[in-house]
Amino acid sequence: MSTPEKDFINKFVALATLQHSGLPSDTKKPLQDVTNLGVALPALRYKYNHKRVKR
Amino acid sequence: MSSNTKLTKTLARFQARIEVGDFYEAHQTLRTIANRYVRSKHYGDAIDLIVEGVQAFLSAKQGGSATDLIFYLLEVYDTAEVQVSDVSVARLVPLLANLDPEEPNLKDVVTGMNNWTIKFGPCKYGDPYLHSVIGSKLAVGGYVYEAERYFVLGTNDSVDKYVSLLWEWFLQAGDKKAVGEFFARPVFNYLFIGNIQNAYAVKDKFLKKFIDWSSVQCEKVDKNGFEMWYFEDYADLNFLQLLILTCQTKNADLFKNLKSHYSGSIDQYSSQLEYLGQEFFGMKIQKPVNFMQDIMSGLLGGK
Repeated sequence: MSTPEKDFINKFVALATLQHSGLPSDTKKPLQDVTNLGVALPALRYKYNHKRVKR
Repeated sequence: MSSNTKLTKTLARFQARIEVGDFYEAHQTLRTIANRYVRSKHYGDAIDLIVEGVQAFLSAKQGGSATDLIFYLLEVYDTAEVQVSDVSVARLVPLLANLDPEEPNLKDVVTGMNNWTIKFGPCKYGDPYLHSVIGSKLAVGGYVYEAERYFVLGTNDSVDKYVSLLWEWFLQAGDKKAVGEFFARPVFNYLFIGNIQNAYAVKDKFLKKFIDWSSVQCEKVDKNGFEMWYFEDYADLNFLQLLILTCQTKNADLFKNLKSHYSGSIDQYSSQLEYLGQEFFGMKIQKPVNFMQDIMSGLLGGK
């Protein structure tokens, strides 16, 4: 563990996982309760060609 | 003659016409008789008849007639106020599954089906099980963004399909450095709808594919039950993994800390992060300040 980013990650994860007040990792809002889809993500710069997919 | 025997007879006549290639006649006959059932409110019979008709047209590769009848079926669903249930959804699934993905009005068909589940079901965006089937069909037809949206709102097995689609797309892109742009999509999409479980599932599945495929420099971080991959050359992948953990904590200080550490490299995510700030950390979205308006409303005693 030498780079600054690695150090940050280690400390950050240690701190974040100490919290017990958060949500369990299998949290899943039921889709009946979903009323908003958030922000529309921008299109990717890459085209997808379905004809190239091997099936 | 009971309505069932009549139905069987009609279907036999219909099948005979299909077999000799008399599609127009077959189509008209079926519609006329289905209409009669609808007018006499025998909706069950009308639905059975139309479904059989769609299947027959699909087997005969008559996509135009088949999709016309699917729209008709949805009209009957609407008139009869058929509620979303395992049975009523399951009836649509084989019709959709057998539809040619190159069918020109594929998108209208799936929209029609989904709109019915919105109107007569509990979910604002439609039925998750139907979404998983729709997503796969749209993906095969090349409608990636539409497929993505349905996968996000689908079932548990939509996650695998979504990951496969993104992975294939990433391979086609031929730009290894762009992996973060692909990985960011499902992470944000699942976090937006409060689905931490699927965000983690995507993290495991997508990153495993990337590691196996690329022989990239990485190292496992494992602390207090949280696991992630540290990538030496992909700060965006590190950031996105930490983001899931951070949303899970609902701790605004951690969120701010994470953002400031990665500031600069995450500019492209500013509106996404603003939304997550509001959803998970109760941070208000700041509106641009209009000084003139503030002064005026101050003078006028308003707020």
